[in-house]
Amino acid sequence: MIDRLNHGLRELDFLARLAKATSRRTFLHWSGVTIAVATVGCGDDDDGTGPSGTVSAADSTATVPAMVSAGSAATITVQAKNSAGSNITTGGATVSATVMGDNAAGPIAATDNGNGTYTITYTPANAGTDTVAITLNGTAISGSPFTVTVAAGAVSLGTGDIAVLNYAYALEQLEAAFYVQVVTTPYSGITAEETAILTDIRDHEVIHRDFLKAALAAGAIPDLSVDFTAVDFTSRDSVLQTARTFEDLGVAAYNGAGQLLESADYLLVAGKIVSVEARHAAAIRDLLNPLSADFAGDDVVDPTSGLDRAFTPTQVLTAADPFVVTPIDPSGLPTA
Amino acid sequence: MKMNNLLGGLDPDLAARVLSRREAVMRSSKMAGALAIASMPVAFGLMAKKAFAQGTLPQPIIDVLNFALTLEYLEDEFYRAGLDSPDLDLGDTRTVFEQISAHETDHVTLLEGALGASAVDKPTFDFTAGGTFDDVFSNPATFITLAQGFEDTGVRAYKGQAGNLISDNTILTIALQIHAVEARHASMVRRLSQSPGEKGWITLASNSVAALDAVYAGEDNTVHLGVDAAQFGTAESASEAFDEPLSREEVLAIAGPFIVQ
Repeated sequence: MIDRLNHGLRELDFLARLAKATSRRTFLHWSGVTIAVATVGCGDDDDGTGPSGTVSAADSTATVPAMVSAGSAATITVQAKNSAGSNITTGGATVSATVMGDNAAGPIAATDNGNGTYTITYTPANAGTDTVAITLNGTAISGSPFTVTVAAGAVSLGTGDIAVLNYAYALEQLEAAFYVQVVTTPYSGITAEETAILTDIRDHEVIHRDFLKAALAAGAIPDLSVDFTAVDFTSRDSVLQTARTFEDLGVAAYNGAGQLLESADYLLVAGKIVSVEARHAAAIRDLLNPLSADFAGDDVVDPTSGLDRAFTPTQVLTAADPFVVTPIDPSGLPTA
Repeated sequence: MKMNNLLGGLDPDLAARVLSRREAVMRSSKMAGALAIASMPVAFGLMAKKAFAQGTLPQPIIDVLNFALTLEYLEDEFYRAGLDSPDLDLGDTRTVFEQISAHETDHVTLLEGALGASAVDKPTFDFTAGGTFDDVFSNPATFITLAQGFEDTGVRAYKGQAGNLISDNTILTIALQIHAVEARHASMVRRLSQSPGEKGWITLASNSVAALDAVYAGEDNTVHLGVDAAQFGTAESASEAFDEPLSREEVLAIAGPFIVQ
C-alpha cells in the first residue's frame, strides 16, 4: 500500500510540473478522483525539458520597482527558476546588474539569499530614467533590461543631530543659491552699498553651505533643486523682500532647532551661524526701510517679550517649500 | 580716549557678585520679582511657572540667567540714559535706538520674571567708564561706539552660554531668541557707525575703534568642528560668516569698567 501511495505521489508531482510547463488548465486525476486544478503560466520559450535543479537564466525573473525616488534605495529581487519555470530553492548562481541611464553604475553583484532568490540594491542619485540589465550566470534573465523611473526623491534628513545639521544645510543651500543668482544678475538700479551687502551675504551663505556639507561629510544630503521663478531678479523690491523672508526664516529656524541638538559643539556652531543670519536680516530690512524700527521690527521681534521668532522644522519647511523642488523628508528630525 | 580702560582690570569680586545666588536673594526685593512676573509675557510666564513648580531652577541655569540679566540691565540703562539725555542729538537714528531700548527693557523684564527672587540686583553703572567716554551722552559718535560694543558683546555673551542651557530646552530657546535680537541690534548699530563702510558683520577681529578691541578678540577664528571655513571663501568672509562666543569671565572683563558696584 505504501509503495502504491509513493508511486501515486511521484506521478502527481510529475503531472503538476507538466501542468506548469505546458501552461494549460490541467486536471489531475488519481484513482479516478479529481484532486487538483493547476493553472500556471511560464515562458513561451520553455520547452519543459530542463532538469528541475538546473538554473535557467531565460526563465528566471526579477521584481523591479517601476519607480523609485532619487536618494532612496531601489531593491530588486531576482528569482532563479529552472527551465520548467519552477523556482529554484537553492543559491549559488552568479547574479549581477548593470545600470545605464541617469544613474549608470555597475556591474552590481547581487546578494545570494541562499534560497534561489538574489537581492540587488542600488541608490539612484539623479531623477530620470534608468535601464537595469540583469544577468544570471552571464545570461540575461527574463524581462531584462528593466526600466526604472527615478522620481525626484524625498531627501531624508537622517536622524538625530545629523538630521538637524542637514536641516540647516538645506536652508543654507536655498539661501546660497538665491544670493548667487542675485549677485550674478543684479537688479536694475542697484547701489554700490547694496552690491557690497548682497555680495557679502552671498559669500557668507556659500560658506555656510559648503562648511555644513564638509562637516556632515558622508552624512550630508544631496544637492537640492531650487525654484526661484516666483522671484523677479530684475526688481529691487522682489529681491530684497525675498532676501528678508529667507533671512528672517533662517533666524527663526536656527532659534527653533537649537533645542533639537544633543551636542553642545553643534549647538555652538548653530549659534555662530544664527547671529550672522540675524545680522543679515537687519541689514536687508534696513535697506528696505532705512532708519526705521524694521531692522528688528515688531513683525519678527515680539514687542511684548523682546524675543525673535523660533519656528519648528515643519513651519520652516512649509515656508520654504515654494522655493525647494526636491521633496524633503524631515521625519527623522528629533522633536525635542 | 584711554584705550586700555575698556579692557581694564576686572574687579575680582565682580563675577562673584554677579553670580552669587545667596547674595542675590538677600538683596533682591521679592515684591519687585512678583511685579515682574505679573507683567511678563505668556511664554516666559509658562517657563517661569514650570521652574517654580519644580521648586527652583538649577543653580547653573540661575547663574547663566543672572549673568544675562546683568548685561541686560547695562544695556537697558544705557539706552534709556541716551534717549533721555537732552544733550544727545540722535537725529534720524533716534527711532532705531528707541526700538533697541524697548527690547532691552523687555529682556530685563523677562529675565527678572524667570529668576524671581533669585534675580541679582541692578548694579550701579558708569557709562563713561571712569571718564574714558566722557561725552557718551552728548556725542552721538561715542554713544554709537559704545552701543556697538555692548551689542556685539551681548551676542558673544549669549552664544557662549548656550551650551550651559542645553539641558533646558525652554530656557535655551528663549536665550537663542534674545541672542538673535542682540545680533539684529548689533548689525544695525554697526551700520550707523561714523566709520565709513562699517559692515553689519564682523571682519576678522578688526574694528574701527581701538577701545573696543577686547570685544572682538578671537572673532577672526574660521575653524569650526575641525573644518576651516576659510577654504570656502577668504579668511575675511569666513570670519564674517561665523560669530564667536565669549566666556563669562571675558564678558565681565569687558563690562567691568562700566560697573561701579
